[in-house]
Amino acid sequence: MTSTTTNRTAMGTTLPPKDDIQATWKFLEGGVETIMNSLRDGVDLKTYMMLYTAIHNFCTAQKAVGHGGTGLQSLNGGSHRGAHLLGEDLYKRLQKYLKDHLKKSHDQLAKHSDEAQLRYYIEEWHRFTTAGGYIQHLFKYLNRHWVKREIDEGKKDVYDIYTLHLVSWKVGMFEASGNTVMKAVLRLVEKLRNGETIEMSQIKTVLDSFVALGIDEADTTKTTLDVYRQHFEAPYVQATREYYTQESQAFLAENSVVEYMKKAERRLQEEKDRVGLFLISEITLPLMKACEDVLIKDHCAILRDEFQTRLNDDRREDMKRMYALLARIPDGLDPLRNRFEVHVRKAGMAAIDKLLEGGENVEPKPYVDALLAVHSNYADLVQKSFNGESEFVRSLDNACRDYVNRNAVCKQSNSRSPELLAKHADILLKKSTKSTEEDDMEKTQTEIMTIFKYIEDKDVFNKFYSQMLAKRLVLGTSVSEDAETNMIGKLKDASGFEYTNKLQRMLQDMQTSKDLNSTYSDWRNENLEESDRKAAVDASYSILGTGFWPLMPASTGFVPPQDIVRTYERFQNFYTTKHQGRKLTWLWHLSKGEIRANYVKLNRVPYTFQLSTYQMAILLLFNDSISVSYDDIAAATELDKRTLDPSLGVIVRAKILNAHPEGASTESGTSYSLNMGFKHKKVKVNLNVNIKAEQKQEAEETHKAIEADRVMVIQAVIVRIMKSRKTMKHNQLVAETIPQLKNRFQPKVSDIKKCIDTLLEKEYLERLEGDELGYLA
Amino acid sequence: GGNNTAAASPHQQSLSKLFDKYKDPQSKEADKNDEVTNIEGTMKYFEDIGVGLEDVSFFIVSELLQSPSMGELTRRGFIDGWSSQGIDTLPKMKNHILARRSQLPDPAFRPTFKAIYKHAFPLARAQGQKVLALDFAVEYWKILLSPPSLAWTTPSTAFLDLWLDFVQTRYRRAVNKDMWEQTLRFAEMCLLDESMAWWNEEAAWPGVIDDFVEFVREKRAVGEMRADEMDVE
Repeated sequence: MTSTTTNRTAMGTTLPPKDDIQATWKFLEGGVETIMNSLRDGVDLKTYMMLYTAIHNFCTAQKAVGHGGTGLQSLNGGSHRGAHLLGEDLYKRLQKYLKDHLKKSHDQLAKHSDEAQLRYYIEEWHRFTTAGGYIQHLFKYLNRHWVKREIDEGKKDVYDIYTLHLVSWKVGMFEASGNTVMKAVLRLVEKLRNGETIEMSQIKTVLDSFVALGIDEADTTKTTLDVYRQHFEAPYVQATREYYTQESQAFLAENSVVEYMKKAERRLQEEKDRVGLFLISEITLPLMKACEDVLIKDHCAILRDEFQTRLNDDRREDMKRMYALLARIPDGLDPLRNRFEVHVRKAGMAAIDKLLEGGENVEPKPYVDALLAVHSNYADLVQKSFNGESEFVRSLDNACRDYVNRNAVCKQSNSRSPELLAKHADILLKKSTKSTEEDDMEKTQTEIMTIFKYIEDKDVFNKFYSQMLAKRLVLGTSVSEDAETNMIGKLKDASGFEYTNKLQRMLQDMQTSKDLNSTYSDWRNENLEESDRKAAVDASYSILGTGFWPLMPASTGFVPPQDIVRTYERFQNFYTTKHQGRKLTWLWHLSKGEIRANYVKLNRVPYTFQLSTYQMAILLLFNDSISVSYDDIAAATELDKRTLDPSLGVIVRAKILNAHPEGASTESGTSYSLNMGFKHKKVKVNLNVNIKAEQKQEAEETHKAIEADRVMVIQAVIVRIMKSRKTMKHNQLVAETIPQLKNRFQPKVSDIKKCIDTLLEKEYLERLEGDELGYLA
Repeated sequence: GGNNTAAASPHQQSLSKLFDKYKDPQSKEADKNDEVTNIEGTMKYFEDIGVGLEDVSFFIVSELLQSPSMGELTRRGFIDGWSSQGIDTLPKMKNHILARRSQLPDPAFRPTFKAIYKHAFPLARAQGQKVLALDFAVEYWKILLSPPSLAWTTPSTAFLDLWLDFVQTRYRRAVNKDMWEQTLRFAEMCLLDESMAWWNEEAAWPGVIDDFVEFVREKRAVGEMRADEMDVE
């Protein structure tokens, strides 16, 4: 240090002889020393320029080949490269200078420890690299010529002057003490984690120095992250791992899991924030992985156990926290999803078990409401606690599908769910005393669709729905056309055009019939005498396309009353002239009407009886005689006993007819007379009530029809597959048939096999070698 | 092959002559080879070679001579069948059928046995019918799947008895060709491994076989329970 002034004085005077290396280096060394040690004192421009010139002069001194080489020259084996060898002299001397300088620095470094050592390392690093920048500039001429040439020729171990500084540092300081410096860094980080305040920039400087030392040997002007990764990142991540392993174990021993989750959440956030404060983004991945490993993965068993408890207690905040934590580790959520699925399934089953405690006969609305309540509760949980994540939605769907189709009520019969859901829809869409607000209608329809989505036997739903729709439309009990259209639209969106085709055709038929009735009314006005019109029965007709409506003519015989025959024959004439070749079959069991009882009155107003056409035929017999026997009624109407008895029974129970002898049952030998003293609190008396036995029988027939439909559908699918594949393994055919049926119902393997047997018997298929089946055109 | 030259070799000539003895006098076909025997002729022939109508040898001859339906033989079938065996006299025929009869359970003879079993179906089926009435099927199974033919029974399980019980009490319908043929395949499997561990619902067995497996298992379960009770006492 003391020599600085001396040197400065010396070099201030004259330039050294340009071909004298000894003198030149002596001249330069003083300048370099000044820059290195007392840069802060400043170097004046003149001195700087002289130093620069001395280097330039030395490098450009044209020396004759082989002329009086120095020791260094001969050491480097040959003098064929003339002037450039001089550059080498300078380079080697600078290199040696740096080495010596750093030796001294390192001796000092070694005297310090921990934070003091860290501070010293940083100071020296700053000083050394700043000086390196100046020296690089000073030696620009050497860099541009000799160094460049050496590097271009592929010489290793020659660097531009700044890089030479770095390489020298790496050897002189870093290799000896880099790891102890890093240890000091890690202690600092630990303090920070423990809540102390530290000087974060120190860490950043050490990190930057490690990055700078990663000189790429392939291209020394560039750096790689190798040194940083090995000497900074790896120990940093390792220390983090150890710190949190220890901390999390200790914390969990003292605190609840919920408290731990909060802590872990906070720790993860802190570590992430620190990357931006004093680290580089490259560390994020390994660092966070280490944190997640020790903070989450190592404790995931405890977390998962806790999940069940939280789920049972419906602690949504906690579950949300747990979800967020476990989502961070690979496969962390699978066990949660499984537990969630099992939980929802149990909840669904339990809800129905509870419902059944109130009795075996479950009403549609409470049943559907119970299914819905479970679904909406957990759908909400998925949104709020599990971020609406699709895998959780899938687990929810799996569970719902299970409890909707396989709960205790379904044990009575597989098709209970679709049947009850269709009935629920029927009640909603039927006119009732309570009017449904439009919003409620929409809401309830949406709810029906929620359950519908889970129904496996969609064909059963469709069958019941179409039958009840047919009834609503034909009997005019539908709440509104809009509501019907809307519901069918929703079903179509969910299951496609084919699924709702017939339902839509039914609505269309009703519209067409409405138009037809008004055309008919016009026709009557034009073609009938007024007196004729007045005498005629006022009637309206629904024309229902065969094949679209799930309606069959009744099995009983029936002779309609003469007045009605005249009425419909006139219509029939009108209709067949309009649509030639069409045949009308009257569905008497679905027809109804009103008759006025002029013989009994309420406050001078005659009673009106609302009747089925069967009942009408019975009652009109009393226009001709006061008393009619059971056998005569049966003979005149030709109704079978199964139909006649309940129809007549309702009239008798309403006391419109008196049975003789009194209380006699509906059977041969009983006779009936009009009750002239009939009294009722309303003018309109509805006698057209559904009969229980009939309903039960209908349901049975519906189930049979569904079974028959299924056989047809399965066979059609098999034939379609075989037609395109020609030959196929038996089990493969079964496997391909199943998915094609799934949107309609859950097919059983045994059912499919029976259909294959049938097709074999019908010779659509043949059995070939080795379980193969062949298609016979 | 060789149908148009039915009387070409000496064998075939003598066989054709023999056939004339049994042939239906009414049968006059454009192709002589299409001529057939009537029931009387067939009965007489079977008697002459010692074949009883209720014996499995009836099915052996019917298959060998490709009898198109019960009690009917064609000249072509008669000549082709016997000449393929190098046989042209009644005593030799009798011996040959006896020899085949004794070979029926032999695994080496199985391909021929299968042909005999399969041929029984078109043979027994009523004219114009695709299926075989259950009563008939039961009778034929008794003949074809018990000694001296292949016996469908194992040390633990009298499969044939169970099968006949099952088809008559549970299945109770006519038997189609597939079921007839699959029954033999199933019987063979049972003989290889009576545990029926090889069976699974996904496999290609007809539904009726699946139901039968269930039936056998039920019976076995009951049987085991009985056996347990006996042990206790």
